[in-house]
Amino acid sequence: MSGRIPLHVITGFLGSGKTTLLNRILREPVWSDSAVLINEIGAVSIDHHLVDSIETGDDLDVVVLQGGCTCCALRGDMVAALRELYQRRADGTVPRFARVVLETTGLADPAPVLFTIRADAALRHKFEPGNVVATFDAVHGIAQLARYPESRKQIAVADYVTLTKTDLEESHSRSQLSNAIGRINPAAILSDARNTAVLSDFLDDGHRKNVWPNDAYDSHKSDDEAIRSYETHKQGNAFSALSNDTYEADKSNPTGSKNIARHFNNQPILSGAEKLGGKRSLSEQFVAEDVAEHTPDIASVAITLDEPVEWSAFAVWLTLLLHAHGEKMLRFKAFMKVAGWENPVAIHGIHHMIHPPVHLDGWPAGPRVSRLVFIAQGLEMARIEPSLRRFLAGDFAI
Amino acid sequence: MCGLCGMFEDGRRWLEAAATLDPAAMRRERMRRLAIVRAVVALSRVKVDDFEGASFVVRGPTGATEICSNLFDLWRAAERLGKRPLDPLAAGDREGG
Repeated sequence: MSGRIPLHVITGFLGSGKTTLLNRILREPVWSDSAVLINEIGAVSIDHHLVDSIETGDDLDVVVLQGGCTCCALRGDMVAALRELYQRRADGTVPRFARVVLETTGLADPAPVLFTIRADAALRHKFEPGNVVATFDAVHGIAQLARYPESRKQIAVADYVTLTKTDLEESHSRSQLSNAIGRINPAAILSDARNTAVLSDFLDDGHRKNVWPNDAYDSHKSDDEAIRSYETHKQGNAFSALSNDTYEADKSNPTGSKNIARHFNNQPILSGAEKLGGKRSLSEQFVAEDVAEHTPDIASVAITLDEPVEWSAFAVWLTLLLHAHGEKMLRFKAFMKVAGWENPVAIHGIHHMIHPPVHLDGWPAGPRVSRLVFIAQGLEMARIEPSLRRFLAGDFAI
Repeated sequence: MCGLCGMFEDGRRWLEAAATLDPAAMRRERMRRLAIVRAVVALSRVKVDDFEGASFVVRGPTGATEICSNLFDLWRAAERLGKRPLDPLAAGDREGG
């Protein structure tokens, strides 16, 4: 254990339900020892009041960051706020919170938030990056993805995407939503905001266990937890396909009929109907084409390596890749079969920032192979796998 | 669980995750990384040496030298001194002529 306090980020487009989600999470007694930072645009801190009026007791400490997006002007404020929070915690003027939850503005890029705590000499020893949770509006989210790069980036860097407003009649079907989100971030864990059991996972302070969607193998969890976790991912997360090259999801979709089959290894993600040669509904067709047309800037690639990987070669290659293209690399996750190690090593990061690797206690069910996902903006993704394979084969010259 | 996670205070030493806490193994890993790095920058006519197991000494074709504490700094220095971009995704272009 690092002893550092995790800072979790709740992001999501304007009006996508971030504050509602935050309130729901904070009502859970288990999260009452959370400090909350809210980043807002505009002079009046509406969200702050929403949270404040609902919370009772002194367990919750809300600091409002005003003046603009977290990604630019407020980084300094965020440093100051976090330092102050930590000082007050040390002085005993606020309860000893176990985690910080930051709600960003609807237009913020969450990545710099995580950079900030890594970059600041004082904060880096006190806080550590936690999970990034993105809310996604089941009614308007798909259109927002098509229109707003901010929305795409928020989805791209998220560990978890939670669907909001799924109870509204106008909402898209689960398969449409997971298809649209999966095209941008195939590694994200997808869930419904109404499922409070899943909410607990968002702020799991042992977040590093969640580096890979299918964490059912985690031996730290009891069987019940593991089963719940597995079922959660199985039902709510088409992206568990990372552990199974093909995975059928959404069978629990109450609307029914459209399963999704996702293929990795550089294959495009196809709807079940598409794969089976069936016809898609007009709305589904619209979704697929709309997203494909409007999101050429963000793309992902998934790579599977059967043979054990030499860690030094992989690590040098990864630093080179991030050196050359870190600004474009929105997210990467790797689950590595390392030569000389019995169990897998998981590693992930955002842009140039690499989280410390995690030595997992065992393998998940399925083939024992390395799996990597890269999500980038404006990068020729088809070059990544040949480059990695060339490097791992011992051709280091560039 | 490997105890190495405590080594990552600077956020960059994750490179050594696959090594063990055994100092000899750590040195071997570092030497292996150094060999790979040298091969990477060879075409840039940049030389790299280990400096007391803690830093890298990067020397350009004209003899200009920089000391770097991690690989990210090393790549930047090698580009500056070798006056040549280092992009692993462009390596295929080199071979394709």
